[in-house]
Order: sequence, then C-alpha cells, then structure tokens
Amino acid sequence: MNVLEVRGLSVSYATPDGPAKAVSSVDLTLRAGEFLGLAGESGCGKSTLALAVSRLLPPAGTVTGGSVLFRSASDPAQVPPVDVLDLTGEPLRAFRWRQMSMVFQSAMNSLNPVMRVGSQVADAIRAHDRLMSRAERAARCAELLDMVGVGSGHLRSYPHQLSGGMRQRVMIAMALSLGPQVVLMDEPTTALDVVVQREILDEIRALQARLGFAVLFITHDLSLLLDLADRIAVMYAGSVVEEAPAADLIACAAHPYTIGLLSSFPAVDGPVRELTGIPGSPPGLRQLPDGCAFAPRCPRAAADCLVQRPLLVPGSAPHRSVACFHPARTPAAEPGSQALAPEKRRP
Amino acid sequence: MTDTASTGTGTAGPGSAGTVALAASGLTKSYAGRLGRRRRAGAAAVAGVDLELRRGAICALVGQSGSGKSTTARLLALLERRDSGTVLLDGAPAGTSPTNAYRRAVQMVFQDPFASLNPAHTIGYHLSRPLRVHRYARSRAQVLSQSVALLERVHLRPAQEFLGKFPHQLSGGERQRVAIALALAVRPRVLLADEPVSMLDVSIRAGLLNLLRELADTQRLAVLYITHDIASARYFADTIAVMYAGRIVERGPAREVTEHPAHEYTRLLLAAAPRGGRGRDRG
Amino acid sequence: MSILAAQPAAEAGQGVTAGRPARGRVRDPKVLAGGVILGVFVILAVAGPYLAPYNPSAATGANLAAPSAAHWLGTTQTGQDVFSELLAGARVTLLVGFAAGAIATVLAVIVGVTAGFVGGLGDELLSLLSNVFLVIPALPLVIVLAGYLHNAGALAVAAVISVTGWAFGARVLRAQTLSLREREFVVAARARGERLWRLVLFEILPNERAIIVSGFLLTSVFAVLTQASLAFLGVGSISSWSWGTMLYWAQNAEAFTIGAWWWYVPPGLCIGLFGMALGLLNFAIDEGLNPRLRAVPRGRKHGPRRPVVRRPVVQRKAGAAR
Repeated sequence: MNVLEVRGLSVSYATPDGPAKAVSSVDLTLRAGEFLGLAGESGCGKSTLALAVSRLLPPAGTVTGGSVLFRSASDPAQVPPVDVLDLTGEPLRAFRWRQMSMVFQSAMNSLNPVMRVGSQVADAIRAHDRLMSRAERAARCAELLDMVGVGSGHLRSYPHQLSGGMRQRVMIAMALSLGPQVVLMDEPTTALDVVVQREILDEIRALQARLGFAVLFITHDLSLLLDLADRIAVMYAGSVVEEAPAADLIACAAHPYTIGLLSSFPAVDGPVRELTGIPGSPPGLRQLPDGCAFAPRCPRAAADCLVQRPLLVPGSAPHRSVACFHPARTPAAEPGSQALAPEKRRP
Repeated sequence: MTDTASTGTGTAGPGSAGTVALAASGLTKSYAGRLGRRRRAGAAAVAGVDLELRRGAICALVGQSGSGKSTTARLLALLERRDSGTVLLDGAPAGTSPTNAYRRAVQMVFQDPFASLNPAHTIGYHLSRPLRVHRYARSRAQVLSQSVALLERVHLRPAQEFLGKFPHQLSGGERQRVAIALALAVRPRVLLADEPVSMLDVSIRAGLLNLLRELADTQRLAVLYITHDIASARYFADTIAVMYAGRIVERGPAREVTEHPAHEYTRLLLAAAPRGGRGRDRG
Repeated sequence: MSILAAQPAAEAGQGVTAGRPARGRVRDPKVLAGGVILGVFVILAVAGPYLAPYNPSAATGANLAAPSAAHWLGTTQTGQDVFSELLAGARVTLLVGFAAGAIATVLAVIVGVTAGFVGGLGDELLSLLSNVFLVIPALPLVIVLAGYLHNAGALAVAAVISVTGWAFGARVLRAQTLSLREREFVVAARARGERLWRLVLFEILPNERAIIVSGFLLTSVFAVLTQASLAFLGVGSISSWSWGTMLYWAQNAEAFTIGAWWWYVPPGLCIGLFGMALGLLNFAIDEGLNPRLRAVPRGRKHGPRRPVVRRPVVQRKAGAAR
C-alpha cells in the first residue's frame, strides 16, 4: 500500500528579485517498506522537496500547490489519508517523528557538542512521547544504539569522541526512535568516505528489513541507488523526469538525462572507457527555458522539445514513467555501464 | 625558466614526460597531544611513506579518512613540517619550509570548493595575485591576458565574464576549476589535488577529472590525485598507492591494483565502491 | 540546523545572478528609519549653530518659560533658548561620538587582528592588554582621565572615551581573525607566496568588514552615552554645549523636580534617538552580510498554504526570462 503520496507539489522561494520556482508539480509515491531513491544534481530541488514534505521549509519558501498524503500502514483502510501540509499544532507534532522522521546531510554536525549522545537521543524521544518513563527511555536509547551499530557503551560519550560515521548512525537511531513509518534521508552519507558510506547504507537496509519502515533517500549520487534502491526517481530542474524500478533503470533507462547520469561515474569493475558526464550545467531556477528544461543539454532534443514541457506519463513498461517526447526505447549503445553482468554477491 | 611570456602557457623546468619530478621517502609526521604544558605522544599520522611523482603521469593516493593522505599532501607541499624523511624536487633536496622556488614548483588544490576562494574578492583579483607575486605579469594588460588564458585552459568560458564574478556566484564545479587555474598560474611542475571532486556532484566529477588528465598530458605536470574513491582512481590514474593508517600498503599500475588486489584493505575499498547495480542482492 | 537553511537557499540562488548584496536599494523600513534619523542629526550637527534662532549662551527671554512660538522648546533657568542649545549641542555630541568610535575601532582592529594573526607570545601579551582594559570599570577610569582635562576640547574627550571602548571590539576581532586564519583560502594564499601584510590587509580584513563597521556603530553609541554621563556628572569641559551638558545644567537647576520637562526631555530624547538610529543601521549590515536575514516580502508565511491558481504547464509566454 502507498504510505506517502506526493501529488502535484510545487514550492517556490521568495527572493529579492522575485519568486523562484524550486519544485514544479512533482508526483511521487512511496510504498510501505520500500526504499525509494530520488536522484538529481545540486539545485534540482530535491532538498526543497524533502523540506516541503517534512514541513521544514524556511520562511522564504512556500508551497504553492499540491498535496502530500500520508496513510499509516497500521490504519484500517477506511481511514482517509492525512494531508501533511494541512497539519498544524498538536497533530503536526504527533505526526512528526512518530509517523515520519528525517535524517539530513551533515546531520552528524547537528549533535550538540556539549551534551552526551545518550541524552540527546532521549531528548528526541521525550519531545514526541511524554508517556515513556525515564527508565523506559534509557532502555530504548540503549536498544537503539545497539541496533544501529554504535553500541550502548557509547550512551555516555560526547559527539567528538565518535567518528563521523558513528555520529551519523546516532542520527539514524534518533530518527528511528519512535518507530516511524517513513524516514526521509537527504544525502545522509555524502560527507563520509566510501567505506563508511557503504557500511551505513547496508545498515539502513538491514534495519529496513527488520523494522519495515519506508525510506525516501535523496542523493546526487545515482551510483549508490543502483545498488540499494527498490525504485528510483530522477529529478531535474524541479520536476521528476523518470521513475522506474531500479533493475529496469539499470537495464534500460529511458530519459536522456538518466542515461547521461548513468554514464558519468565509473563502476569499479566495468570496462575502462571515456567518461564524459553531461556537458553544460542545469538552468537557474528563474531562467527555466520554455519547453523541456533539459533540452539545451540533450543529445536527443528535437524541435518539439523546445516548445512544450513534457509531462510525466506512464512508460512502456509497468511501474515506469518518463517525462520526455523522445525517450530511449532500447538499451543505450554505450558498452559497460548498462550491460548486464553476472550478479556478484557482495562480500 | 622558459615560458611564453605573453600568455603564460608554457611549463617550466627540466625533464620530459616520465622523469621523476617529486620524490619523497620515509615521510613521517605525528601530531603530539598536548595536555597543559606536557606533550603526550600522539599517533603517527604518516609513518614512513615513499612516493614518486612523474611528469605527465597521475598517481592516485587512495584511502579512507584518517589514513593520512591529506597530511601526506601537506607534507609534500611543505605546508607542514615533517618529522623525518626526505623530499627531492627534481633531484634537489628540499628543506622543511617552502622557499619561493619550491612554492612555484609545487602547488596544491584543496577539497572544498567553497572554502578555497576568498568570498570578498572577484575571480579576477584571485588570479591576479599569483601572477603579480611571482612577477609573471607586470602591467594590467598582462594580468588580464594571462588571466583569460588561464580560465580558458580550465575551460571556463566566456573567460571575461568570469573575471568579474564573486565566488558565491559560481557553482561548485566552476569554483574548483578556478582553484585549478590559480594553481596553474604559478606554473608548477607538480600538482597535488587533495580530494578535488569529493564535494562535487557525481555528474560533474568526470569533467573535472578529465581536465586534470588533460593538464597532466599537455602540460607535463606530475599530478597526485588523492581520493577515497578507488573507482575514479582506476579510470584516471596511471598508478595507485593505497594508504592505510599512515602507511602505503599496496602500490602499482592502476589497472593491476584494482583487478588483482593483493592487500586485504585494497579489497575492502574495492568492495565498497559503486558497482553500477551489479552488486544487488535481489533480482 | 543552519546548513539546512543554506542548502535550499543555495539551490534557489543557483543561476540567479544576484550580485553583491544590494547596496543602493534600501528595502527595509528599519534601515530607512535609521538612516533618516541619522541624516537629520548630521545635518543638525553641521548646520546647527547657524540655524539656531538665538545664541545658546545668551540670556534671551523669560526664565524657565514653557515652549512657545518665540522659544520652540522654552528657556532655561537663565533664559537661554533650549532649542538653540539643542542645535548647537548636536555638533559636539556627534563629533565626540563618531571620533571616539573611530579611534576605538582603529585601536580594536590593530590590537585584535594582530593578536589573532600572530598567535604565540604576541597574542598572549595583546590579549592581556585587552583583558585589563575590559576589566577596568569604564566610567571611573574615564572620570579620572577626564579630570586631567580641564576645559579640554571635544577631541580630547573623544580620545579619553575611546581608551575604555576599544577592548571589546579587539576581543571580537581577535576571535574572528583566529577563525579566518585557518580558512582554506588564507592557507592557499600563503601557499602561493603572499606576504604576511598582504594576507592581513587583503585576505582577512575584507572578511571582517561587517564586524568592524558594526563595532564602529555600537562604539559610537557607547561614546555618546559616556560623554553624556561625563557631562552630566560635571566632569570635563562644560563650557561647550552638548546634549550631556544640557542635562547637567538641567539637573543642576533641579529642572526634574520643578517639572521643566522642555529642558531635559529633548536632549535625552535626542541621545536615545541617535542610539536607536545607529542600532537600526546595524540591521543593514547584518542583512548585507547574511542574505538569509534579508526581509522576506510580507504575506509569505510558514504554514497553511495559500490557494494559488494553477497555471497550465504546457506553454510559457513568449519572452519569458531566460
């Protein structure tokens, strides 16, 4: 069942030179227990989307349209879904952290340097659940730290005594403390090096399998999602341009931007070939061109791409959608990045 | 030093491609902990590292955070005093603090594109400084033409437009290119790039690394590429040295090291690298 | 989570050709108000003595007369016109205020930036110096020093006041310099061979502009208040007119008890307005430095969204900005 449905969400920022449209009419669906990856370059609006969904937009940002429907997996089917954007006051507080929690980029720097780690996790619990006794809270904190791999021995440690990876795990523990249905993660591993990153991502998947929460994982690094996500959505200049199950995306990406992204990072075991990335840079939010935002950089652009903006429509295969007038229909001709290699078990 | 004075595009110094520009052996550095006035022995950040950088070649130094790779780079640039070991620039031994000549020969590009440029000055000002300090340009016209040439060399076009911009008006990738241009302005023989693309989007990393490759080839620069991502090292470097806990645990030609890793740690790094979807557990 | 706020703002700003923070365009009513008030005072300071209807020291009219058409702010006990005194006093007050602010700021920059930059023994000594001056009670010290300056001019008074006002700014600048010194662009500049004096003047100081100017404004307010206090206590020169001197004479003549409000309210009010004006201008500096603080247009509220007509996404108007 769908636990989170974003329909037509649009967000704009008030800037001294007028409004800038950061997110344009985005549709996303997150199913219970699913790992949905959202990939896009800096400036494509993915962080804004995360902030809008979690009701943390800064004062200059406004939601100008759309809805975010949340349906708890434990609710009976008759209960209508709740629009997160309409919640205020006590219902919003009850919703936050118990139904949906977040882990942001460099969250490990959000830990208070003069408080012990255990008490910070306990604070998070106490803020949203007044009913737990102190003993229960302490037990829960220890359990959480064990669960994420930090170890309850670190309950009385200060943040500076933990490495970056450990601190990020503490933030994940905090996010999971009240057993939410949805966890939003915005670039949680970007500041970490590749080995720690891999460990934490494996940990997240293991926790997901055990606890059953859904994850919306936002990142600029599509390569991470290819190995981990169930479904992947690709975002460009404020809107979603492609959405597909991960395996389908790897085998046969349809949108030229996705194809470009897939060929811009080296896989460690693929054949060595020229990497080009995508020439040019994304448009500024106030200089969005008429027509398709990617057209100026697109190798497949045609005349109609410059005139009309393509909408996200279901693609040829089930569960796939793409916003393009000329999507690729067969696997791209480039060798290596999209060729199917025999499955390797990760050590 | 031979150079084409008008555009500043020449590289200086002896040696054709393949000669060793910078050689270090036995580099050691430890940071002593200090409690009050007493000094406690700290762990060695770099413990006996040997490295060779050849002109026209890219050597990748791969390791996790805390392995000592950034410290190694700073020791090579003489930004920190080494505890022991020798550093030879074109065969001549270098002291523990940099001379002007050494600074001209060895330059460093840092990781954080948002921190390496002074937010209060334009790009044009940034570029003019090394040109003036090292007397490559004396008049404003010379500064202007050489600055434009430098920006073109790092593929920032239209160059004239960039000169008047401030750092906050540029994207991360553009800033990093400016940082490379600044390093090139000094006309170095050795370029030490400390995780130059780690803070950039994956989609623009390739462009920047291709630029480094191009510079190594056309300018006969010796490049040290420091990274924690062994996959990119495999693509862009000629040789790889794997660093762990302050020591080099494996080294060799890039292809060789990644396809037939000998050390356990190298295998760990390879396992953590992105596999383009081929490492999935599920179908 | 300040990084969070920066991220989407950075996303929103990407590609937007926002140049330096807008200097010529003043949007914020606070800044406008502050600027206007200060402007009025500066005009008074410059032209005051010429605009005054009477000679402030001359006995012109009835003693302790309430405000009237002839005397807009009434007269003092000796018949002097309060309004003329106010206009004449503006000059000395502002002169002392800004001069002391300037001297104190220069001292703070020299001591603070040097201490932060050189580190080691030099830093320790300079920090000791600033700490001593921070700890010494300002007003008693000023009174003692001013006691040596019988009938000294405004600049001497300003110098004395700045002796007590520089230390706080020095501490702040030292901390800021310490942090900037380790920033990568300074290290990079040093690695490229820049000389030390250029590093300080051109790499570090430009990034401290906002703090220095802000310090100058606040120190000027401090100086005006101190000068008023000095004059009120009868210390220092009481022969030249300033707002503080007016208060001294008013208190001397027990204007408070006899209810001659037109004598002590105007100078007090002017001092207060001056301080407020500089404080409001401080906002401009904060916003100039930190774009996130810039005034957001009214009507944008966090919370329930306002219904907006959904525009069809198909066609854009021809000529939309590229």
